Formats: sequence, structure tokens, C-alpha cells
Amino acid sequence: MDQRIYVANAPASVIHANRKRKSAFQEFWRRFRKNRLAVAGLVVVVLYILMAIFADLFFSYNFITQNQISNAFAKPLTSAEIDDGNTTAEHLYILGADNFGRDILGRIIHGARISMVIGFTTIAFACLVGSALGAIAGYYGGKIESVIMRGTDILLAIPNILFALAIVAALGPSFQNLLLAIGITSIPAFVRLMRASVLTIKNQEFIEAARALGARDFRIIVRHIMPNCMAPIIVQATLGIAQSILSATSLSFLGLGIQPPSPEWGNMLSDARSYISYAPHTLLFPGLAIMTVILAYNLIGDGLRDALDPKLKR
Amino acid sequence: MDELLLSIQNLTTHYITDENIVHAVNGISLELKTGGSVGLVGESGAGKTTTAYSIMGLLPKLTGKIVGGSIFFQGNDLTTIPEDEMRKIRGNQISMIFQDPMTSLNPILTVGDQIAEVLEIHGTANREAAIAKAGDMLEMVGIPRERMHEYPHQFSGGMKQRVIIAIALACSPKLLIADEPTTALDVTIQAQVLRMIKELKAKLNTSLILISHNLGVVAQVCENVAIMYAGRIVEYGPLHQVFESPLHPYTEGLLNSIPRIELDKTRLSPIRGMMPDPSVVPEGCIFRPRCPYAEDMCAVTAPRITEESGRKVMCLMHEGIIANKMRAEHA
Amino acid sequence: MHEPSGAAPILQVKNLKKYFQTPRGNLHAVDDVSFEIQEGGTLGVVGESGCGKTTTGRAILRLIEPTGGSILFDGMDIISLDKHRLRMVREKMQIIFQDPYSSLDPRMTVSGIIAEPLIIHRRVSGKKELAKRVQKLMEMVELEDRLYSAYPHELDGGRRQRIGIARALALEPKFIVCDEPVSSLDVSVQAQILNLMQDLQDQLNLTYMFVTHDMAVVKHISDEIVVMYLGQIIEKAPAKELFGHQYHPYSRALISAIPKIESAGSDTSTVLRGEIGSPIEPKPGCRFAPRCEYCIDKCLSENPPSKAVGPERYAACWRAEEI
Repeated sequence: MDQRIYVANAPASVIHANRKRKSAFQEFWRRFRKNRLAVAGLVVVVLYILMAIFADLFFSYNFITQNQISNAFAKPLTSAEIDDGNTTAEHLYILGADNFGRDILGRIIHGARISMVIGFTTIAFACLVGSALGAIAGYYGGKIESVIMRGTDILLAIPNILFALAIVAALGPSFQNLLLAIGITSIPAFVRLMRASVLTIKNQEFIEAARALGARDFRIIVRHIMPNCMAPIIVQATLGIAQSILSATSLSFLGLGIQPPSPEWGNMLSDARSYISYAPHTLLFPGLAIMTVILAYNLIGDGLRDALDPKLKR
Repeated sequence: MDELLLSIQNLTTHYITDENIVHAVNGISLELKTGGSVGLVGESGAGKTTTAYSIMGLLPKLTGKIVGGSIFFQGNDLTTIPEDEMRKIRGNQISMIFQDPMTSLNPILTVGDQIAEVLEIHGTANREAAIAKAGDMLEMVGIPRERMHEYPHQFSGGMKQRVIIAIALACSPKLLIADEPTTALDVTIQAQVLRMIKELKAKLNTSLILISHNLGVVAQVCENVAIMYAGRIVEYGPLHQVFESPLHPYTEGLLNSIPRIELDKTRLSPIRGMMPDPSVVPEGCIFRPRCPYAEDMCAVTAPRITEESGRKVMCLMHEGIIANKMRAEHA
Repeated sequence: MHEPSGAAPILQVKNLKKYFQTPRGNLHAVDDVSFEIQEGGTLGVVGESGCGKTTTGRAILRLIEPTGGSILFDGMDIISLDKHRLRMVREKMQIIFQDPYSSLDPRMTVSGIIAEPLIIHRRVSGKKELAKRVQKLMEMVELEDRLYSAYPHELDGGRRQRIGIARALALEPKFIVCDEPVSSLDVSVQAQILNLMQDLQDQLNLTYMFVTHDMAVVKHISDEIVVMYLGQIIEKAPAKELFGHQYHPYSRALISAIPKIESAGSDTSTVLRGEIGSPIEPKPGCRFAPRCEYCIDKCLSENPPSKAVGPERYAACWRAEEI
């Protein structure tokens, strides 16, 4: 039965000479801003990103990977002497030192760089590949869709850790392989999301209109369908970054990911395991770093979802 | 009985959003006798549905607010009574049916259960009696009573709308508000449903407010008609009088702009311009920018309602402030 | 109303069929539909839900692939065209959609939407040229210049529909399928758009196939009208004559069911009983028979063909002349 619902023109949305026109972004930002937690999360993430970019300004990479056994387990806010063979200097360990005498704060800051890189590259990869596959699956349907979706299901059925283990066992433990493993296991979420969005949009009349104009499939998918599916993808990407970082720390914690002496947060946790009662600060601060970043990303993701959801508009 | 059932006096309702205030209804007054019927006609944004929601107390909680006026129903002012009192009235004394039959019914309950529900809520009957009455109501709307055990998806659009009417009339309410009840239906089904509404209304002596943008639909069922524009009633009166010789330029414009089966027009005369921005309250007459008879006075003086032999109109021409240039008879 | 030239028909549809496969059998959405439209004229196609009018419109443009029959556009057989040629023909055959809200990409600006067909078919070279063409089209549909970079969601239904019309006109088509173009619009805006469409037809010698359920609108804009019911054309008549006298019981019921302002209060309609039947695996015989007050035995066993009942008048009813 055809839908002949009387479509109400909301006159309030009509352009009038005396009304300022708000761009879509300004409207989105206004809504996002209202969510204090999301904004707090954004501030935290921006801080971490800045830390990651300017890590070298605070501490050199050499410094934080070099052992200073004499200062092992220095308590937070204590000073100790650093002897690098040539000179000796006083150094304030703001967050204390780990079991090798390395500055924890410095390692956390450099660790932020590693985490951000992992987060962004894996998700960028998964997003591109996953969205493309999802869009193709959703648009063409039939056998193509079946193949892609079953492949995705298989990927989802394999536990992430096991998959990473397999990659590492086959290709060896390295940074690149870690990125590959995490990237691949992040793909399914995007495939599913994109496919679902495409299925919804595909039947909208403006898609049919494009076809009536003679547009080719590629143009329709790339210029009409994908831009209209961005909202859930953006949300998933944000949450996905958090998941990636967590996966990376877990894998490194198990020794499958980044190898020491890299200041990856998971490694730091792993090293600190044995010294919990003795020097809790070696575990506490890396743990807090992980927690705050993950929490911040999740808050942003939730805030994005609310701000982008047209139904929640007041 | 010719007593006054409903008396809306100077009702003003606003929607208050982050960005602005939408003046949806601006000081409307309307009266309805027991057993009477009025069609509320206007285009989208005119404030018809907001008026209905205001009467029913169904305005969206966060944004909708009745900021002025009163709605007297059987002597009580509905704008001041508490929510639990209003709940006793809804479905019982005043019922409302909505435009889209597809989504107005709960898909997981049988139609019989849904009709019985309203009876049980208002304590009219216990479970068995309610089910029996549900069967009666189905027959009243022309559906065999055995079908009460079926689910909404087993019915067509027109039949769903009948079920909805059955639910609305189950407690024999004094007032039925129908918001675009046939807009989503095919023409032949619409004719069936309108005829049925008319018959039931007469049988149960229910008063009716019929909201529609379709003048023909309203003409089939209602005695009186109120023409709404930008939250105001600009004209009111007995339906054939209003449609044959409209007093307000907007009414005249509406009648001129629609294609009519009975007439042979070669070209339609649309009303120029567009509906005004409801967040802006202008000085003077709200219809002035689109009115073919407007004069300078109209920009400065807001017209008031003038009454004349049972007809009401809101226009400076009929207040005598400016010259009346409308033709006396409308072809 | 526009008077068509006496030239050959620009569109000839013969025995068009579209069946959909469902678990319960074939859905006869369009079943053996034939008609012609003269260049510059307007064919109104009316009917209620399930009559197949929307499917017919889309099948003619091959937005839905027909199951059978032939469609000749300017003498060319549309159905046999390959993808490449079809894209070329698409320049000449366009469509205007019903819903001005969902037929425009919400992420594109007004100018982007109107320019797209020109970009796809590489009709214009250079940004300036493109902008000029878009502005000219906007002018043609009476869209203000200042809306060039506006987004659809900022505009009301009437303006959006004008964008849709401008988009359809961009490639200078000869034939446009108008799928309920004014049904979603406010009454006063409908009049503006209908007038605009008539003016454009005169200016550009366009041919319209106007699909709608609104009888008053179709009477106003059409030269000839076909009435459809459950996938078949049951009556065909010049617009002026159809409303005076109908040869098919369904047309009669349809027209009398229209709520008229003049007959306020009095109920002169022939109210049809029953519901519209199912188009899935329809039984033999006339599809309207279950609801028809003139039904005889023959109606239940044989589907009446469309036959001439007067000059330029056709009806598919065994008892057409008697009624």
C-alpha cells in the first residue's frame, strides 16, 4: 500500500531573511558541546595527542629506554642522580621510576605516541577496508554480499587474541604485525555498520533519482550512499580507537605485541606485575593512563552518537 | 440537547526549543455543542494538530506549553486539571484518532484486546464484558466479530482505521477528535470510512472535531468549519456558507487554488508567497504579505474577530476599518 | 490545458508486464498495459493502491526491469537497449518524484543537485559554464538565486519540488514521468507547482505521464486519462469526457467517491463494498468482479479485454455499454 502520509512542512525550517543559517557542523558542535562528559573526554584525548606529538620535547626516546638500575623503583616526586657515563645530573622522577630506573612519566608520554599511532592507523585501515566491503555488500547484494558477510562472520568468530597469536606465530612479533592483526580484527564492525546503513539508504528515492539521471554504480556508492552513512561510522571509529589501544596493550601485556624496551603501556603493566606490593606506582600510573584514554574515547564516542542522532533533536 | 460541550477561549500554545519559540496556536476560540461537528481546516503549520494536542493534554512535555487561555469541557477547564484527572477523560470522554493507521495499532496485541483495553482502563467493564463489547464495536464499524482474535497486520489500511475508530468510540465519548483520519487511505476506502464516521456520530450523538487539509473531506461530514492560518482561526461558520461565499481572503484563496472536479478551471490561482515563520510575531495582520486586498492599515493593526449572523471572521475589511473589496458571492 | 500537436506518438507502450516473484506466487504489478502518448501532451494515470501506476512509470524508464511487452520511445525500443545506450536515452526521459524530502540527497546543495545530471553526462565544460546553466535552470523553476548554496533540509516542500523539477529538466528531456509530484505538498503550493509544470510544458514542448491518485489534479492537468486497477487499464478516455460519463463501474465508483465541496452534507456517492483484491496470482476473470454491482457470470470466468466504446474511449468491461 503506498504511503500517502501528508508530509508536514515545518515552516520553522524555511529560510527567512532574518534568520542566520547554521551550517551542519555548527549545529552538530552546539549539540556536542552540551554534553559535558563528552567535552571532557575530548579535552583529555587532545591532551594525549599533543603529548604524543611533542613527546620528544619532554623526554628523549633514548632517555626513557636506557636503564638506570641505580634508581630502580624511585618513588614519585623524588630526585635521584642520573649517570649516563659522561655526566651526572639530578633528575626529578615525577611519577617515579620503574624496575629499570626509567622515568615512568617519560615512558607514559612516549607510550601515548605509540598508542595513538596504533589507534589511528589500525582504525583508518579497518575503516577504509571495512566500509568499502560493507558498501559493496550492501549495494550489490546477492552472492557478493553472501561472500563478504560470511567472511566477516568467520573473522568475528575467531577470538582476537588467538588471531593475533596466529599472525605473530606466522610472521614474527613486530610492530607492523601487531598493527596488521589489530587492523584486521577491527574490520568486521565497519563492514556490518556500513552494510546496514547502505541497505537503509539504498531504497531512498534520491538514490533512484541518481540512477534515473544515468549515474554509474561507483558514483552512486561513493557520492550518494557513503556520505550519508558517515554518522555511525564516525562513532564506531572513535570507539574503535579505544578498542584498538586496549587490544594492543593486552597483546603487549602477553608479550605478543610491542617488544621491550618500547614504552608501550601494556609492556609497562606487564613489567610491573611482579612488583605490585613493593612498588605500586609502577603499575598504577600506566594503568591510569590506559584507563583515562579509553574512557575519554568512549565518552567522545557516546557524545558523538547523541549529537549526530537526528531523532534526539529538540 | 443543545448545551455547550466544548468551549475553547483564547487558547495560546507555544513550542519552546533551544533556538526559538514557535507560536503554534495564537489565541483561538471555538465552541462546540453536544452532537455538533466542526472541521478544522488549514495547511501544514496552521496549528490544527497542536490545537488537538492541547485539548487532549498530549503536548510534548519538554517543549509544548499552553501559555494562555482555557479549554472548558463540560464546565471544567482542562488546562488546569491534574494529569490523573485528564487520564480519566482521555479515551473515555474525549477520544482522538490519528492520521497513520499503520502505526497506531500495537502489532503484538489482537485487535479485540486493544479495543477491550480501553474499556478496562476506564473501568467500564471487567475482562469478559470488555471482550464482548469489543465484538460489538467491531460489528459497529463493519468488521465481523470473529476477527477480534486477529492481529493488526492481517487487516488492510482501511480496516485498521476502522479498528482505531472502534477503539476511540468504545467508551462512547462525548467528543471525538479525528486528525487527518483518511489522508493515508485510498479514495474509495476514504469514502467508506467517512460515511461510517458520519453514521456512528449520529448514532452515538458524539461531537466531532475533524482536522483535515482537504476541504472536500470536511465538507462530507461537518456542519461548521473553522479555517486556520498561522495559529489563528481566520474564519468560522456553517460549512456551505463559508465555502460558497468566503469572507476571509485566505479562505477565498484556498478555494481558488485547488483544482475542483465540479468546475472547469484552465488555470489555478495559487496564493502567492508562503506560510509565515511561526517563531516571529508580526505587527498587524498575519495574512497581509499574501493578501490580494491588503492595504497599509493591515501592516499596523491586527484585526479582531467580528461576528455576523453566526459567522466569524478576522479581517479588517469586515471590521469596517478598510474597504471591503471582496466579491459578495464566490462562484 | 495543453493541446498536443498532431504528430506521431512519442511513447508507445504495448502489452507491458511486470511481475514480481513472491513466496506466494507471482505478483502481477503491471499486467498487459498498453497506451500511447502524443508529443507535447499529458497522459494522466490514476488508480488506488496496488493498481500498478507507479510501477508502470518506473518500468517505462527501466528503473524497474519490465518482465514483458514493448516500450517504443521516439520509435526506439527501450527494452532491448544495452546499458550504454540506455544511459544516452535517459537524457531524454526523466522523472519527478513524489516525496520532495527523500528524493533529494540531503548532503548536496541545491546547485549540486541540479548540476549533477550535467556532470554525469558531461554536457558542460568548465565551472563557470556549469554555474550559468544551473542558474538558468533555477530561474526557469522560479527558485531564488540566493538559494544556490542552500541545503534541501532548509527549504519547504514547494521549493524542494522545484529543485526536483530543475534536476529533471537539466538534460533537456522530451518526456517526463511525474510520479505524484504534488501529493506531498500543501494545497496552496500544489497550485504553484501545477502552474509551473504547465508553463514549462508549453515552453519546452514536454510530454508528461502524470501519475496520481488525486482525481481533481488529474482532471486539471491531463489531456487523456487512463484508470488502472490491480495492474490493468480498465478505462481510457479524454480528460474532459471521463468525468461526465464513465463506462467502467470502477471508474464510476472512483469518481463518485471523491469528496466534493459542492455536495457538502449530502451523500451521493456509490460507496464501494469490500477491499482492493490481491495482485498475487490473480484468479481468472475480471479483477474488479468481487466488488462490482454489475457482475455477471461471464465476469468471473473471463477477463474482459479493453474495447472501444466510443470515439477515443475504451473500457475493459463486458457490460460497458449497458452501464
